[in-house]
Amino acid sequence: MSQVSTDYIRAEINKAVPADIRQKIEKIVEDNRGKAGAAIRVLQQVQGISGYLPPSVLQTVSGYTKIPLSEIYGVVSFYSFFSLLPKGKHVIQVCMGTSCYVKGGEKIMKTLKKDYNLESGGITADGKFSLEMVRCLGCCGLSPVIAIGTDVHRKVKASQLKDILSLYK
Amino acid sequence: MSKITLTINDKQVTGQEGDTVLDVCRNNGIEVPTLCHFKGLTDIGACRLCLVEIEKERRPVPSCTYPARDGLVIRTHTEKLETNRRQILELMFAERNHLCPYCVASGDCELQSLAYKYQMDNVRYDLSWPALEVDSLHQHLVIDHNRCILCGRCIRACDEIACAHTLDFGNRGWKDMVCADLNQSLGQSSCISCGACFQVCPTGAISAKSGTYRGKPEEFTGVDSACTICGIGCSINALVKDNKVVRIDSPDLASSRGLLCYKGRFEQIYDKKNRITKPLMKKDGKFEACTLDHALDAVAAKFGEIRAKHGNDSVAGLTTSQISNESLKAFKGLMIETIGTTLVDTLDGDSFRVIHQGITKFRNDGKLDIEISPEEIFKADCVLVAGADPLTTHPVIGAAVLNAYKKNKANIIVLDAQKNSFASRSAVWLKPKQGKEEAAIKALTDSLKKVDAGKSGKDAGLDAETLVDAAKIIAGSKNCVIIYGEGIIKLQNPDVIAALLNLAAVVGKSDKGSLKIISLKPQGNSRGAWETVGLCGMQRADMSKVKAAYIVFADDGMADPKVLDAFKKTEFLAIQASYLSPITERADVVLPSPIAIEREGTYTTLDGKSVSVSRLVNPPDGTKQDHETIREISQRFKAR
Repeated sequence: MSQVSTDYIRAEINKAVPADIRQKIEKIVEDNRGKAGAAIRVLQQVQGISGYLPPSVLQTVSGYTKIPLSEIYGVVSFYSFFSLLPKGKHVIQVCMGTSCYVKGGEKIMKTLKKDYNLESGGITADGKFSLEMVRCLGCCGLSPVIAIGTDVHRKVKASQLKDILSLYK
Repeated sequence: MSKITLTINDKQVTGQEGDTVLDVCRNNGIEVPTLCHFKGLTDIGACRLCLVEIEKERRPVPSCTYPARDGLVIRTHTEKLETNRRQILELMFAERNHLCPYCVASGDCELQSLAYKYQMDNVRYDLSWPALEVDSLHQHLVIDHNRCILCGRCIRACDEIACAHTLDFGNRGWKDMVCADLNQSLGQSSCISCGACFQVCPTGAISAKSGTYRGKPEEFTGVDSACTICGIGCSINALVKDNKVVRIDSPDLASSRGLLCYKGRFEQIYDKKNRITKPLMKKDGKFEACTLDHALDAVAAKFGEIRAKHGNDSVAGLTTSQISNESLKAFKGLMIETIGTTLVDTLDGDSFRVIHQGITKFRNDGKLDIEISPEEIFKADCVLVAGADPLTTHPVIGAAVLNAYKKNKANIIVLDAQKNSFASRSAVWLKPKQGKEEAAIKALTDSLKKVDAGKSGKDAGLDAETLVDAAKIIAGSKNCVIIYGEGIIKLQNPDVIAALLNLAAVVGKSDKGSLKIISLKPQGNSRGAWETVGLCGMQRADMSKVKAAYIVFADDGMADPKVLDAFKKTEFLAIQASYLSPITERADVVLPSPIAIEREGTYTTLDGKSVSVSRLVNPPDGTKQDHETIREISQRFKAR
C-alpha cells in the first residue's frame, strides 16, 4: 500500500457508511467468525465491495470484528494488495522487476506520468485508470510487461501505450 | 515453584521455574542490557541487545524470551556478544535522528545511557536521516518518530496495560512506524491519554508537553503519594524540582491498579495564573490584600456578631469534596461544634443525598459500604455501564472496563439514553427514552427473573429482543459488575438507584456479601465528605435565610457559580479558594487555599479505603493547609 496522507484519513474516517454496505460487511464478518486469521480474508472480501478500503469502512470492520483499528492498519499497510485510496476503473500494473526494468519499464512509468499524469498509487482525474508499480508479474521472457485489469500486454513500448490504453473504455 | 540451578559466566546461580534467562541474570546481579524489555509487558525479543550464548544452542538467543531450565550453561558477556551489542546500537543510531543534544530525553534516555556504556564514540554506518513527522496535536503528548527505535514498548503498554490498543506498527518494512489507529494524529485517535506509552518509552520519542527540558533525573526528588482527583486513589510518584512538579508517573505501571489517567498524570501539574496567594478583604466593593491574622479575626468576629444577633442557623457552611478528611473534620468542627449551625452541606451534596436515599430505600441503613471495590472490574466477565461515561469522568475505571473487555472477553452492556465511549464496544446498548431509566432497569431485572417485562420495557422504549439479549448475557455471566454514574445521579431520583441495587441483588453478590455495584462519585473525596459532613445535613439546606456563610472551594473545578444564588441575601460571605473566579468575586473575605498537588492528609476512596496523601510541592508562602486555616478560625471564634 502506498502512503496515504493523514488529512485524507481524517476527512474520510467519520463519513457515514451506507446501510447496504454495512450489511454486506456484517455478513462477511459473520461468515468468517471464529476462523483463525480471518482478518486478511475479511479485509479482502470487504475490499471486493467497492474496490478499495475507505477509512470509514475500516472503522466499521473494526467495530464488527473487535479488532483494534491500529491492528487493521498494520495489516492493510503491509500488503500492497490493500488500498485505502479509490482505484480506477482499470488498474494498470507496470512491472519493474529486473528484466522489465532493464527493457524499459521505467520509460513506461515516465510516459504514463507525462501523458496521463499518473504516478504509482495515483488515479487519473476521470477515475478511469489507476497505476501500480509491481515487482514481478512472472513473465520475464515477455518483458517489459504491463497488466491492465486481468490482461497482460507483452513487450510494450512506450510509444504503444496510447493505443493500448485506448482499448479500455 | 521449584528451584533450578544454572551456570552463568562460570558461576552457579539459582532461579525459579518459569523465570526467563534474563530474570535469572538480573536476580543474580548480572546486568544484561535491554531496550525492548519492560517489566510487566510481554517480551518480544525485538531489540536483540539481550542475546546470550547458551551451550547446545547453535546461535545466540534473546535471554528475555528464553525460559530458564535446570542445567543451562550460559555466557552473557563474551567478546562476540559485546561486539554485537555495540553494532546493534550503532545501527539504531544510524537509522533515525538520535542527536542527543537536541532531544527532550537527553540525560534520561536508555539508548543514550547504553551508548555511553558501550563507549560508542562513532557510528560506522551512514546516517539515514529520514525526515519523519513530529505529532504534537495531542493535548499532553508529543510523538517524535525521528527518535523512535521501534522497540514496541508503547504498543504493548497501550495494548496490555491501558487495553486501548490505539498504537500499533504500521507501514511495516523499511518505513515501519508506530501508528495510532489509521496512522492518524494521536490527538485525533481513540487514545485515552493515560500516558502509559510516555512512561515506558526508553528514548525521547514520546514525551509529555509538561516537564520537558526541565533537567536531569539526578536533579529531581521523588515523592510517593496518591492521586486525589476522582476518588479512585491511584498511587503516584512525582518528580519534583525547584518546588515544581516535573512529571507524575505510576510507581508500578504493570500492576492491575498501576494505570494512571490524563487528569492525574498531566492535568493536575498545571497551576493556573489567577492564583490567590494572599488573603483578600473587600473594602468599598474592591479587594484589598491583608494579613492572614487580620482576615481570620474579621471572619471570626463577623460570624460571632451575626450568630449573636440572629441565632445559630443564621450561619451556614458549604465545602467542596476535594479537600482531605482532616480539613473536612475541621470544617465540621467549626460549623457544627463551634458555631452550632445545622446548615452544612457539600458542593456535591445532591449526589450524596440521592445515592443515600436510594440505598435507604433498598435496605434501610443507607450505608455506602454496600458497594464493591473497582478492583472487581478486572475480574468481571460482564459489565453493565448505566448512565456513566467512566472513560471521561473516571478514566482509570474506564480502562479497567476495557481491561475486562479485552482480557476476560467481558461483554459490555450500556444502559444510557446518551451515547458513551463504550457504545461501539458494547454487546447490547439499552437505550431508554429520556427519563425512563427506572422502567428500563426494572424491565431488565424482570427479564432476569424471567418475569414478563413487556410492559415496563415498552414504557422505557426498549424492544423485547434487546432486553432478552441483555438478560441472557447477564444470566450467562459468572461475575457481572454494575457501574453507574453522573447520568443516573443527575436524575435526582432515589427510585432509580434503588432499582439498580435491586438489579444488582438479582445479579449476585460478592464473596463478602456486598453488591457488585460501583457508583462513580463526582469528586476526589466525595465519600469522605459524605461520611463526615454529608450525614449532618440530610436535607437540602434552605440557605435563603442565612446571614453569613463560610464556603471552602479550594480548587474545585466543577463548582458551578450557581451555588452562590442561594446566598443572595447573605450579609457576609467568607470563601476559601485557590483561584480567583466569578465565585470569589462575591466574597467579603477570601482566604488562600492550596491546590491538589499542595494538599496533604488522608482521603477516602470511592470504595471506602483510606489513602494517605503527601504534598508534592509546597503551597505559596502564607497559604496554609485547609484544615489549619479552618482550625484557626475555630480558635479565634472561641477566644472572642
